[in-house]
Amino acid sequence: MILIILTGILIASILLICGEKGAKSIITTAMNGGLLLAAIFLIYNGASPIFITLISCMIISLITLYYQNEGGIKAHIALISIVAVFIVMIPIIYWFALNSHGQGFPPEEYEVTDSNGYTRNIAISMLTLQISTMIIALVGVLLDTSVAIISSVFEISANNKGLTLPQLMKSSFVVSKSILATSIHTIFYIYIAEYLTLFIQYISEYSFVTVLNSKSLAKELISVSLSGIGCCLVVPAATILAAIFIKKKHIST
Amino acid sequence: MNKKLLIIHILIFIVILLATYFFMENNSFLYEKNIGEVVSMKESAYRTVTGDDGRHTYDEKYVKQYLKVKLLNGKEKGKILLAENEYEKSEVYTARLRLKDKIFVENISLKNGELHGLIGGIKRDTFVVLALVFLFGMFLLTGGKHGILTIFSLVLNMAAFYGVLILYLKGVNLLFTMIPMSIFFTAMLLFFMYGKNMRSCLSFIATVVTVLITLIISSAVIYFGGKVDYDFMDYLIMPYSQRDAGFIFMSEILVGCLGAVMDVVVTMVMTVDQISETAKSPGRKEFIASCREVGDDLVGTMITLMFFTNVAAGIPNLILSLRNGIGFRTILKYNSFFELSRFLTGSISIVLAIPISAAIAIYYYRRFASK
Repeated sequence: MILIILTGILIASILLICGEKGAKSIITTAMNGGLLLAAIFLIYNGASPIFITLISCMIISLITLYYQNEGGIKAHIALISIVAVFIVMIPIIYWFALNSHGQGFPPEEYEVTDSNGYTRNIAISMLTLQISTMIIALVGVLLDTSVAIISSVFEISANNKGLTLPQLMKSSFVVSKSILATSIHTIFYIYIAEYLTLFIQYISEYSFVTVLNSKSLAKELISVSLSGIGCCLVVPAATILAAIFIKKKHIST
Repeated sequence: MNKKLLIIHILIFIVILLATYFFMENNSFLYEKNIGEVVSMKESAYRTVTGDDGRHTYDEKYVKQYLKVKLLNGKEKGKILLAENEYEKSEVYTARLRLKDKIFVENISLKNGELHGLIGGIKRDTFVVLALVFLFGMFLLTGGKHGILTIFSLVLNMAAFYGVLILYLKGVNLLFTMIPMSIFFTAMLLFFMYGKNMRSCLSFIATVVTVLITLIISSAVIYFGGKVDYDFMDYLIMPYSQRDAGFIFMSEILVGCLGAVMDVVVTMVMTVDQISETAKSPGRKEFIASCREVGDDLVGTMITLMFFTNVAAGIPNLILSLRNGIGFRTILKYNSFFELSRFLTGSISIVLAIPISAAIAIYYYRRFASK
């Protein structure tokens, strides 16, 4: 009931306040949600989680870049930089997930136990699901940051046609560094909100050493940190690619 | 020159990462608990249990691991100890140990000339600390001066949250300490990052107004929308009181939208500022038109970001519930309720931030700046 009202308020305010692109973002979010549900059902029915996640992340990126942001050279550059960052990040994600043993459900999630009807006999590897979770959290961050960077590089280049490539690169980096700072804060607050209850548990019940070695911290903090690292990686990738390709385009036209 | 410096920085970064890794892997002398390293193991599947969700059945293998563990600290340092570990192939609640894993060992006893012990958890500190060092190093590498500020502000934020939670555990209402704290942090962050000027001041007012309006809307909806079942809130301490859990939830909503709102507001104020500088005498209509355009560009990807960062963590829970035969509507209604409502309120705050910040900025610039 609450969810329905909130959804109603969100849709109404988007329609009232935003223009055509805002309306598109409703459809995009609905598609993303649908896609995620489809992926969950496929995983539920036994498909390989990591494979399904990668494919759905690809489709999600395509929808967000080419449908919502109307394609063009900006979308091409964003896509290339996201794929590049993914290629670098996937081994890192895999290594951390494998060694930190953060998969599954920690004892801090009181609700999820055998006796509450969540039996352990599900025959899906929680490790692969943990990796999928990290990948999905990463793709949202990458999309937001890369699109923001590329459009500001585009604006800089369009407004100062006389800039040489090194000059453009330099002023683009100034902008993208401040975008990095704001993106990191955005993610940081979202995660603080998500784990507020976990922090309360840590402070009220645990010693520092127990927290440092607990499954829940390994699971959540590593996933958050990897999103942040991906965000840092996409900054130079998107800035350099955008500066080079947009310069080329603005010279040729 | 510049490239050389970058390469040197990257090399220093890699050295620091490696040093952190080796230090954390060999820091067992700092622990009072006994720590051991798995040096060999034998596995045997000892039973298979069939799970069932009403539509399919699943075979889950239960495996016992017979481990030889080399002790790394304490009186018996260097000796080999025998221990057992049980896990299921899915690793829902348990974990499979691998060679070279570091584990805590409890209840060490001598039986027939051999040391025996129980496993008291896995040592995970290496990876937690390594991930943090990696992240902060990346901030410094890519962000430079901004990176230092970001790290500083994150650490300060964490310290403040710690303080608020300590107050909460002493019995102070969480929401009422969280509100002044987030107002204070908004002010600090904005003046810190963007300098002491009118733009930061306007951004500050717009952020506070937007967040408060979001909070009012969401508390009204939650108040009138029926009872929320906080049993399913992740990591909530049991037993809880309905009132207390409600305040925690509202605090989550408040904090969750703070960063995103600031992001939108700063961009909007910057746009209005730019327009009033470049255009000669912009009318209200032109202001609104360009604000709308900029806002439109922002909303899409910000909502996508909100969606994935909030929803991703719930995926393992969804799969676990589905495979246990819990209906999809039940899951949406209870298990995913908190994630979805945080996403929705966050998105609402992003959308609301656009007209609010635009109105405040346009009002100011038309009133005062043009004179």
